[in-house]
Amino acid sequence: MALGRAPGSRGGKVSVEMHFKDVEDVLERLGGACYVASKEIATVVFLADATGKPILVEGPAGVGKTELVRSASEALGRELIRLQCYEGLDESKALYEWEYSKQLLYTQMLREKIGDIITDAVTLGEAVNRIADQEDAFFSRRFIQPRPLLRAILSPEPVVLLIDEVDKSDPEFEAFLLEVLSDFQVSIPEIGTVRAKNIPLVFLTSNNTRDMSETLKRRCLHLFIDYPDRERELKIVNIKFPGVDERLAAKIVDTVHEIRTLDLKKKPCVSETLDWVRSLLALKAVEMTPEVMAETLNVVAKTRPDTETVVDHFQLRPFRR
Amino acid sequence: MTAPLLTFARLCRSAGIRISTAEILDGIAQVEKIDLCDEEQFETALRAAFIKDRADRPRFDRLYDLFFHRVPAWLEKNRYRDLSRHLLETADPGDTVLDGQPTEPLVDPLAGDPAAFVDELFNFLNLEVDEPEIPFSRLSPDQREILTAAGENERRGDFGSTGGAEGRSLGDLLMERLGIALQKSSAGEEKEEKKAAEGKKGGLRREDIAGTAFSRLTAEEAREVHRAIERLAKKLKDQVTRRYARKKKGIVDIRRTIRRSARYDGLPVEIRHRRKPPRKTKIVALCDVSYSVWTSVPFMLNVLYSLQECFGQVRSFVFIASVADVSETMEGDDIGRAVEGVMERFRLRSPRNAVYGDEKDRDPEDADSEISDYGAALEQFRREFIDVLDRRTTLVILGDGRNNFLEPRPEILETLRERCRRVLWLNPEGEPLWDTGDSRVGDYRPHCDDMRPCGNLRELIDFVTSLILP
Repeated sequence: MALGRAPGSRGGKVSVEMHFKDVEDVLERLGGACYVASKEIATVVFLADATGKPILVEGPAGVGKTELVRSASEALGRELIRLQCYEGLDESKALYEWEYSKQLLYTQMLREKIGDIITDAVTLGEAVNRIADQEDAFFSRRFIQPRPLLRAILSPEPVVLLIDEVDKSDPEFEAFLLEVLSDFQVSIPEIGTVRAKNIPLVFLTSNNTRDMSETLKRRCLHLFIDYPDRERELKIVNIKFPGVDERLAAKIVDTVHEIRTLDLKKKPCVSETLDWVRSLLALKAVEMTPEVMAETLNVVAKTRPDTETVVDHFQLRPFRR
Repeated sequence: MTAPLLTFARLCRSAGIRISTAEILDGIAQVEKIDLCDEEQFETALRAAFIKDRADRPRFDRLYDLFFHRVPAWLEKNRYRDLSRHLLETADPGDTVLDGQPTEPLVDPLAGDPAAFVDELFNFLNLEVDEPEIPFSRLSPDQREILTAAGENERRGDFGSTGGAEGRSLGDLLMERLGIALQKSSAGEEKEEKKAAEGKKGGLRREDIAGTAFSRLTAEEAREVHRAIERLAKKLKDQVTRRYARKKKGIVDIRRTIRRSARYDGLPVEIRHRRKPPRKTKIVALCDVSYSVWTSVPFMLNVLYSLQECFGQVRSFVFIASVADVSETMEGDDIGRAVEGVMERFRLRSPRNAVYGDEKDRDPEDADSEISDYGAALEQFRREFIDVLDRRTTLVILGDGRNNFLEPRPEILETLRERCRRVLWLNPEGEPLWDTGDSRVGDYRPHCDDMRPCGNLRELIDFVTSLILP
């Protein structure tokens, strides 16, 4: 998936239309960004872009939720701003922070200047007033450190905002997010209200470790991405590894699909299919023999009991060390 | 366009899917943006707007199929073909053929003047339903029930309109009936295709299962409850481990705060807190496994052992009249099997040393097994196992306190309580039944820190959540 996709490589594409025309256009442009979208995914992405609503993307780990967002940002030629959620994430990490140290530094450097300002003040009150007059200098945008959400709002160009693993954040943060996502404006007490120039295309991803609140769900379009069907997965393999032997690719995809039907703790996802292809290519394997499979099984089966199950199912026992 | 979507939304609501007005507005706005000749887009747009929970999806798909395919198709195929053709013409005067392709059933109700079409359609269908001789698709067997159920559903529904049945259009009524019929028919189908429908069943009956008393669950539902417990345990475990990372309150970590203050010219701008792992309670579960209670016990044990990592230690004891330590049996990896093992082992090995009380009050099924004696059980527990209790232990008792008119001896519970952090009593019976008949929970209640009903999954979840995340 990382094939030939350097973040800075879209310098020349500034003229790309920053909105999708229709669903076909989405399919085509996501395809151009190395993402094989199903019609459903394309429709939802198109609708979100057209109506300015956030998308809540759910699905098992590794089916390409984050990848979809990256591809969408590439297809639209928009900057991708990512906010990774975690327990304890708060506004100062997500929205903005005052740079106290910078303010302090400036204060120190300007200490003499401050002396000049208050030097001929007669009373203490006058001195305080004069300093207060300078307050704007210290609570200006200069000292604000914008975090992802504010960056997305301030950006002069439309952006793609990814709020990753939103289920990992606290409920309080979710409530705060709701406020930002509903009108895309933020009030900073010292400066005033900042309104988004362009509504960003917002994706929220969730692995369902906890249920999101009804209110948040209600504001979003809901997209559930499941494991892809055989054809789509094969297409994904082909687009990521152009020139891979077709029979090998088909064999790998079939095997992964079969493994997914087993009762496993962690089912192999798309990224694991790709890892497997990559490993086999690295090993210069041309065929999926039981030996090769047994040797590379740890790419797809990530726990010991899972490995056992897969080995039993495919009867790889004799080939294990 | 709006009218059929509203009707469809109403149909979804009556089938139990929660759709807010805002979501309907979204749906309408979205449908306007897409290419209506492509049905997949249309369906996806509606689904993305209306369905926010994956569990509702199968239900939505059925409703969608019914509303946009089956009803129109049925109309077309039926002997009322003429009428339906007339309806189609009302809806879409002129060309019913787009670019040489015959019109999709989907397009019919949406093209031209859809409002009139849908209204006529429903008036027409409604007449049908009220004529008993004419079978209407698959609803007719349950018709009477459906008709009455529609009223009930209306009263229950969160979003149901406030006006009475007369105040609303016939179409609405029909759609509600359709929704209920669908619920019914899908429930019926599931019975037939038990295995295949496991997923759907979870979605369709989840609410009911959480509220159904353990004693009234069927085997299949019980399995579903165990699965639900598994999911719950996973979520809770996740939350507990993540609580280690919390550091916004508590004791200030002076060292790290000072180190941090170096960035701000020595001012403690950022206060750092000491990370303290949350205290893990030790759990001792004492479960009554007599006939009146034992249906609840497997769930209780399942919950406690699924969450073993969240507690310091879990010990479990079961009793009818005599107490047995089953902690070892429970240590096995498969919880379901361990629970079965406990139940089996206990019933096989339990000594028949109980004093029998009033025969009349006992259930016929347990005529030859021993009967609960809380007094004796508590006494034996104190004698043999008091060592398992210490200041960090929470003693959880699961039982209905039906003591068969034997001596309750609540003072023993008090001595146990003095030894441990707290005593929680879970009663599988609902509160109205407490202290009726031979129930002596009133005697035990003053000696418990908390006594609460725990007869269904919802109550069990509440209890466990409060135990782990105080």
